[in-house]
Amino acid sequence: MELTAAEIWNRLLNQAKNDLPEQTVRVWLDSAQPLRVEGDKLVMGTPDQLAAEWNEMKHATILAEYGPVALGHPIRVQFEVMPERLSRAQMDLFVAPQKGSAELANATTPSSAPLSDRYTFRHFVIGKSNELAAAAAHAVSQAPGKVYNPLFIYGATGLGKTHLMQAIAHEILSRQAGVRITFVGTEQFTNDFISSVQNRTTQDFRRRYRETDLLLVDDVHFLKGKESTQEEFFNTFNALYEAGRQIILTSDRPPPEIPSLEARLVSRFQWGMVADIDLPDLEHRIAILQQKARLDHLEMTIPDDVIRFIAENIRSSVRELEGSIIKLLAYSSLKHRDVTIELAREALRDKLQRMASGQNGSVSDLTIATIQGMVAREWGVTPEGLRSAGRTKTLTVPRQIAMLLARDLLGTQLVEIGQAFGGRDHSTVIHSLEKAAERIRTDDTVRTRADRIRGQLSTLTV
Amino acid sequence: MRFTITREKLQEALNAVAASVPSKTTLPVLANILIETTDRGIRLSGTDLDIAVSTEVPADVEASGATTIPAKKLAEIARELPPSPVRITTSGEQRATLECGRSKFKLLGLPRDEFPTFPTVKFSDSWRVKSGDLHKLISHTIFAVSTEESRPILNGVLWELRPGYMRMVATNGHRLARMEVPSSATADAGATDLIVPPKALDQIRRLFPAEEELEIGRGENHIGFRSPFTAVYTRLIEGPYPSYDQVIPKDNDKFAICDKQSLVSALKRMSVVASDQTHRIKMAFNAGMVKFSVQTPDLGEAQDELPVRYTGDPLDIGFNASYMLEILRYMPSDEVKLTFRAPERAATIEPEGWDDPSKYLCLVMPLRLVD
Repeated sequence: MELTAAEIWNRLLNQAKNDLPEQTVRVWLDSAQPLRVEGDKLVMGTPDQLAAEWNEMKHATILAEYGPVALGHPIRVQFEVMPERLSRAQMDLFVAPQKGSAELANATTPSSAPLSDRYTFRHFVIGKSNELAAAAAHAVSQAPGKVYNPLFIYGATGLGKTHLMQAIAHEILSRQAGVRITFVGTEQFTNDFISSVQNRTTQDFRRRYRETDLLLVDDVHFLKGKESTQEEFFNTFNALYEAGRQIILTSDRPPPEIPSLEARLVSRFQWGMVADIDLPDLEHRIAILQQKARLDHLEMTIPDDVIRFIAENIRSSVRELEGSIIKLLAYSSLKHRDVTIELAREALRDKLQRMASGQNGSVSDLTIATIQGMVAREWGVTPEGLRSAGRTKTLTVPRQIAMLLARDLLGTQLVEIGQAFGGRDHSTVIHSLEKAAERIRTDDTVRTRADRIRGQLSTLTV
Repeated sequence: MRFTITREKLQEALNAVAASVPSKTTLPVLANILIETTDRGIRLSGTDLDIAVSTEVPADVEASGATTIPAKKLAEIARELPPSPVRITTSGEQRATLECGRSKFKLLGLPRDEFPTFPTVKFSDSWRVKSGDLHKLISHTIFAVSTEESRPILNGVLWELRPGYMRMVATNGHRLARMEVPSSATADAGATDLIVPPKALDQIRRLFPAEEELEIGRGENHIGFRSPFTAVYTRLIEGPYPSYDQVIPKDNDKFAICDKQSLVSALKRMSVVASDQTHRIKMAFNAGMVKFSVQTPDLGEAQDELPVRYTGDPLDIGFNASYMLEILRYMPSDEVKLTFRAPERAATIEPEGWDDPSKYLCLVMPLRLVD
């Protein structure tokens, strides 16, 4: 039986009354109203931001813990300002107006680039390579200007620096609407500064950048060599730092390694926390792809083995990983074909080649299909025969050899080989590879034939 | 217990504590006042459990003791008595006899033990403040306090005690009043923030003359205000108070200075035609002039104008006229200064040319001009 929001709240509140001081219940909980249930989450409405934040911080966890006892299942409790309060004609000091009427808030910081909705903590997949940066970012979002100021995140392109930075902004905004956030790239900061000098509006420029609660500057390594911009940046930094405002910076390398950056900036950048983001490892890449698939509601169309295939082969950056999925899906819908490893290999050929060349210098223009075709011709059978379920010796020998060549020349995964040969499972493939190796070792004819094909295939290799 | 007291002193003491006696209560003893004998006379106390008031008056004590007597009846009797000495005698725990001239009353009270004890409040290491400073803070801020039950924090007045000054802030979310006065409140106890129910502050204003020096004592969830004869205790509201500093605009770039009385008159004229619910009026600021207008469906419309000294881009902004009027009532100067940023941002109102060491600032949030 489904309980209504009011019934759930009643049960939680009754529990709370046993544990919490009467005044706490009276001041903070009695004024909250159950709004709705969303899955395992109870959404409560409060009269203003203060009550929402305080309850969220002090009471949400305690209330959630009553779930199993009071309801028999876990529950999360979330507090937000009652929607009706947001649209009242009489504006309230402690209720931020609805987004629609907040054009003005944006107008006051015209230089801020918009934040991306996707770049939130919820969408950020934490792994070994970025856990330090993520933990620091989280800490900053909980206590802006207090713990790590500035927060300096560095790492190669496409690993999530900007994502983390914006996630902090989103988090702070969600808890405290009306916070003034300025998010700019270093290029834009430079351009703004130059045009303010040209137009003699440096006062405006300073006000804009210094009257902000949170300054996010992307790619500060672009400051290199720009002396007067560095000077202005230095002053902006100091003004904000002294006012206890949070500053977050990203760069592609740690501060001391940014060429021709003034020493005083280098040292300031290191005052707070310097956190790096590294390339994700395999498990992390898989998690990222799964998250991406989930967020785009793709779990039905991308099978696990394809995700694994992409994760194993695309290693350069998270952006590249996500790009691969998008490309693969586009390819799949254009060609009206299901997403399989084979399709992924075709769709991502350019990326895979780049990876391969990056790793061992040999670029392969081969596919399993070419190998199958050649082996089939050599043994006088059809490629379809190799992929069929047939188990006559005329088919099993070339099939095993073709599998071995695919494994040796393409480094294809066992599962994938199995797929390419009529959906055999990977233990069958292992067995076949052993058999093929044995045959080549013991049977001269087989070895000659196999070597000949190897030779022919190698001409295909650029 | 047996004592004799003048009718005036009895009435004076009863008046002081009467406001703390609840008119309706589920705990019968709260409808009574506690009468105890002391070294100097008698002490009367009343409480509704949120607030407690006790006051000492001179009396001629013959036998010490204590009892509780229904407050309302005792006050009514005192009012009707002839101006002669009043003699009160108890027999047993509950029976009290009151004699005055030829009049005689027998009242049924309740045992002293049933009367709730006052919260423990420590007056050692306390602050000492001038009652007059408190009066000033209270009278300039208390009007802005919220009465909305669902915002209990805003139902209190924030009182910040700091070395060298103290400050009170009250708001209902729509408008806010903040006053700061220099104060030599010797703060052995250090700086502190208290959220005080307005009911207690009303009692402070009523019971302590401006020239008195008060001791402020602190308990766990209570504070006490004490002069040599009278004490007020109140429960505090559990914080935190919203960080009001964050909502005080610092970048308002449009300023208007105008004559307070003329502004009040214009606003009152506009209010007549404004909607009873929203009291919405529109103010259009231009160099040298503010134009008022109001349009209420089913009623009519009105316009007015007032010369102002205005600097900044032209601005159209909507307000609840009664909020504006209320704030202006407490503005201590002849001219007031209004500052704005935009039609959705808080406006400020301050006294202009006010020769006083105190600082006073009010905020009012606009009304949206279109629904």
